[in-house]
Amino acid sequence: MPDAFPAPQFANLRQQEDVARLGMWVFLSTEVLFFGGMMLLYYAYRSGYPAGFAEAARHTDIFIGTINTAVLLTSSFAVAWAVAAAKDGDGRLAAILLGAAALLGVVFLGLKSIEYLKEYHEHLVPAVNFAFPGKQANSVELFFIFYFISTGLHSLHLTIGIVALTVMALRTARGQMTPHLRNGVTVTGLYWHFVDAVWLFLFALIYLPGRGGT
Amino acid sequence: MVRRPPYALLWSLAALLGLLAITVTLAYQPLGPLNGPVAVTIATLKALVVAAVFMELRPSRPLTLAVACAGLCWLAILFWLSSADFNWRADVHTASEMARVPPYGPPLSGSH
Repeated sequence: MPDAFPAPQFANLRQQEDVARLGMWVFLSTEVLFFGGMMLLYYAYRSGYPAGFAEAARHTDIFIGTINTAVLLTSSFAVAWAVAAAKDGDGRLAAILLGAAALLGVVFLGLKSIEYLKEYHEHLVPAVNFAFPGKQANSVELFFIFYFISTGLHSLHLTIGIVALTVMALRTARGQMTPHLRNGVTVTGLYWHFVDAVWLFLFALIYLPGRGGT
Repeated sequence: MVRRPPYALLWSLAALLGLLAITVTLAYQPLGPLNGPVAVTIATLKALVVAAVFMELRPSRPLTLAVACAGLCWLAILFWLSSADFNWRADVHTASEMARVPPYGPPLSGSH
């Protein structure tokens, strides 16, 4: 096996895996602040315009949002299983699961596109096609600015994740499951789970407010 | 060979989908000001399951755990200081308003 030994800077394969995981977590910590800053902005505006934000949230498509959340959670499950399969040396199963997760990511983007199109037809796209009757028009527009920026950036992250999962699926399907490849699957999985976790918060902030009549 | 998914992953997926159903159901209940905190609490619970089980944070080394928590700590500081500012800041005046009163502008008539 060509990759049975660690890279020269590492004492053993375990240390190499730990460093790979640690590196991805350092990156994810910066991503926490990236998305967290955006959510802080959301809270600042929501506390200023609670009625407008509740009104705007009621105009999002909670059905598509809920299905998309379930799709992402299932894809995360598939990736976690793929990581377990990769650790066990089963490259073929890992490749199938990574491919399935990437496909679920594509399904998410497809449903999100349908949602964007629906919002365009309902005149809810700020700066492009926006018209909202009533007193809350300005704060509704503010909500939808946040909505498109946050879901757009999330979709960008998801697209990067789909590409990474596809590359990993092809690599694991092609060759022997080496320790280096296993590390690649693990850190790609960490990234994918993080993108999933970000969506869980976006779902709570975008789709759920205003449904209970407040 | 792991032909069947590990039970921990299966249970986690079931719990996550269950929490999703609960959060959507609760969103339609008239809980008043509690609707928002309930939704975010359930989202945090779901994220914890993802981090602990799917991201294997639970059996991780202390250094990895510390790095994972570092981002959250800095985020907490950001939210803490910013919300202190938003909640307790006095009325904000524009530059032109401030220029009309002391100490930036001319003294009010009869003040000396």
